Amino acid sequence: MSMSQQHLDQQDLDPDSTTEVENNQNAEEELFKECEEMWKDMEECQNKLSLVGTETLTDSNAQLSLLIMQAKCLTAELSQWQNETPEIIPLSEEILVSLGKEQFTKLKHDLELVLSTVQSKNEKLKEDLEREQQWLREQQQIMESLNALHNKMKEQIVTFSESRVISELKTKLHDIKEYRKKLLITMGEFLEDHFPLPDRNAKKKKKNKETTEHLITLHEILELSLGLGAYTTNPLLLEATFLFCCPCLLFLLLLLLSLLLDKTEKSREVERQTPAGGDAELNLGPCAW
Amino acid sequence: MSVLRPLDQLPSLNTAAVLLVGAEDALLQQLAESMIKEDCPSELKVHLANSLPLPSSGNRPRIDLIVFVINLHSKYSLQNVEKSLHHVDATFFLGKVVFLTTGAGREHHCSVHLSTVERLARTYRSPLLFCDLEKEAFRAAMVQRLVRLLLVCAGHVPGVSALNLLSLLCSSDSPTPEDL
Repeated sequence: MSMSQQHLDQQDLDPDSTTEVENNQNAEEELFKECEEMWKDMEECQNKLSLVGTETLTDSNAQLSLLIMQAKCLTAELSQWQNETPEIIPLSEEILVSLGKEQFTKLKHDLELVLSTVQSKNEKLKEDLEREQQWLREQQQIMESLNALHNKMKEQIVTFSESRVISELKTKLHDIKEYRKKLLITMGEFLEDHFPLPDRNAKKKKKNKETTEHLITLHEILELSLGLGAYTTNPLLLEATFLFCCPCLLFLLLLLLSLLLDKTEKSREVERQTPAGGDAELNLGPCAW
Repeated sequence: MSVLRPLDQLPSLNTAAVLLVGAEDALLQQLAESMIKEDCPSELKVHLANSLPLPSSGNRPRIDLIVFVINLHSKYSLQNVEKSLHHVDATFFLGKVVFLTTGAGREHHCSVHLSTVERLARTYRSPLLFCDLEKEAFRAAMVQRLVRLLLVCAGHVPGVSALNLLSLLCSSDSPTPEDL
């Protein structure tokens, strides 16, 4: 049934294409007759169909009955296809020309499609190329700037050499030693000015009982206080330890000096008060340590 | 007649009619509008229905294809379709019925399980199509498919019958352990 209907539909289109040429009425009439016959067949089939009862499906029997029905219908269609012989359409010029035109228009349409897709692909590729080129340019710029930076930083590298470091340290040490000498000299001069060394023969100035006290030099005081004795005669070691104890020593010195200042002022006051010499005992004990 | 039959009338020349059955009017309306806009060599007629049986107002052309629209977000649409299926003649299921499912994309809104719909399609031996009908692009693609299906079912494509197409569409089905 559907086969004949398809044929009918196809032939329905054909009259439209051949109506352009009015000459070949015969072909038209023939086709018309065929169409009429087909329509009659269809009406007969339709009548037969209307006599067939309806059948509805439930969920349970649906699958099986449908499968059976589908199998039957497929075999019927198969037999129909096998029995059918292809009909040759009358090869008149108009039909051929119209068929040819149809095919050419189809081809043109397909080619246009292909062209448009290829063109759009081209455009996309061009866009991609531009984007990639832009990216490349940016990367090259970055590279150049990085190279320039690298060169700049190279110049700033100072080669590290051990010998230079050592010589720098030596000069520093020498400078510090010089400074220390200068400090000691100035301190010696200061002490000479303000606290002259007592002569070992001028004992008369001392009315202290403790004249038998040893007058020891400051150097010896420091030696004793630092616990250094004759057993370390290594001048380098002495010098080193002296250098390292400088801050505390300075503090000690300052303390000493302040004490001495106090005591000598007091002693001078006492001397002025008792010019005739006195039996005052001057407690210079703490000084004479 | 309360049961919808295929081939109940002689066809009108060069026309194909499709019936969209579904519970949600908005979806059906959108689908119908998109189908009419589609250009095809034959004249298209789109009929909408919420459920079967159709009201027996005459002058209806013969229906070439029925599309059952199921929305996975509502159980009611599935029940509606199941009820309507009982009013369809068995011979319709030889390739002239299609189940169209929408809303599979948003899983947390789905109240109907996919397997339920799949089982329904398998029971009635009909193709199951998925589409998100609310998105313009997907709907356009689905409409093209449906129009091609309709043309084949109406016999406008020479050499291909609805049953042929059905066996092509459903050839990937293999019987599940439940069915055996």
